[in-house]
Amino acid sequence: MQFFGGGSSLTSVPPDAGTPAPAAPPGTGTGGGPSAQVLYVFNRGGVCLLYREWHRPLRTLDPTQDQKLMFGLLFSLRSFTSKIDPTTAEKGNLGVPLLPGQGCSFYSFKTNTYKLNFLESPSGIKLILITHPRTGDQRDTLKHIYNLYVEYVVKNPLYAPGTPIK
Amino acid sequence: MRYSTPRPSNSVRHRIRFPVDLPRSLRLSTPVSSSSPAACADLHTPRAAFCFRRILAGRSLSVEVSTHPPCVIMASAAIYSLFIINKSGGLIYYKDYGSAGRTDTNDSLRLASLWHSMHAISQQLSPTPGCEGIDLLQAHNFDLHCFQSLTGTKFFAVCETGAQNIEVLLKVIYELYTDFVLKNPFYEMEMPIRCELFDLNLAQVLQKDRVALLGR
Repeated sequence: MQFFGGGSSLTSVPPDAGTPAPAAPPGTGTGGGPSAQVLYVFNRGGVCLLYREWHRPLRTLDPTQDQKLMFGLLFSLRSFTSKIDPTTAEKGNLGVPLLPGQGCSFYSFKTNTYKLNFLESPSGIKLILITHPRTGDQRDTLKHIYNLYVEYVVKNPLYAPGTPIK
Repeated sequence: MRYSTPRPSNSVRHRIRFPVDLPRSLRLSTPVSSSSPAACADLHTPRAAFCFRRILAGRSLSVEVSTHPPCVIMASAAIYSLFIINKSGGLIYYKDYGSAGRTDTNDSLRLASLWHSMHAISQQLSPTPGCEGIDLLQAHNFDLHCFQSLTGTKFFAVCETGAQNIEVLLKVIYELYTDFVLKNPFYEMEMPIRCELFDLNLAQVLQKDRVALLGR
């Protein structure tokens, strides 16, 4: 899987090109489009680096519990997909933490009320974009958001890794 | 549950002995001496079927068993495996159709209950009300389609990526489940499915599916 689309495509993005740091909220401009509802960014350790919501009428849990639940769901779904994967014979044990890129991962799931798009970078950054259930493939959007993250967060000298993006 | 190997036609002649799986309908080809109206009844209520079978018990009768009518489904990709889980997350049916590597019994049970919890958590995380859980999971090597019945029984199939109309297939399987499992008077609710007619009809449906795939 190719995550690094190269900087050339990034320089052609007008909305964020003028603001070097800190990151403009991804998804508001070119990122998610009008159908984006919620965006989460987690690092390898499960710290929520960024949370944005545009359309969320239902809130059952407080923000920290919600983020923990989301990270737990992704963790378990990752081990589920790598275990149930019918195309590879060599599968690890269920519930053992997987390295980024190890085993079969998933890129989206759909319910009747939302669609969750998921991207995990080789460094363990997890991007989750929740959209309307009838949106198409959002993998390119997520790659684009990841590129924005690399460009404007990772390359920002004032940013301390592992802290929420401000 | 033991009667002679059925031929794959829609109406098969069987020698029915006691106990048997519940067929969709029974028609006696030789009249019974106490020819009751129940003898020609469509056996859609388990209780009636049970009483009827008690009449039959002890006698050996030649009856006509009408298996499930052929369903027109046009799913267009191979299924790797099929799971049915009950409303509390226990695996009640698992069938593998050629996935690489063996999933042993313990692992399939774990996967089933893990899916049950994932399904429940996904409802909690919905940004809008009225969520009924995951119905499609797209992974890099496969697609997982899930169908939940109103009673909470979940049917999920692991298929090739981009498989079409699997929802329809799952609904057909649900229909088979209601016809041949739930109407079987010897089936205990929420317990593993061991019904010969269900296996038979499921195999037929999937075979038809595979033929439709090859014909393309």
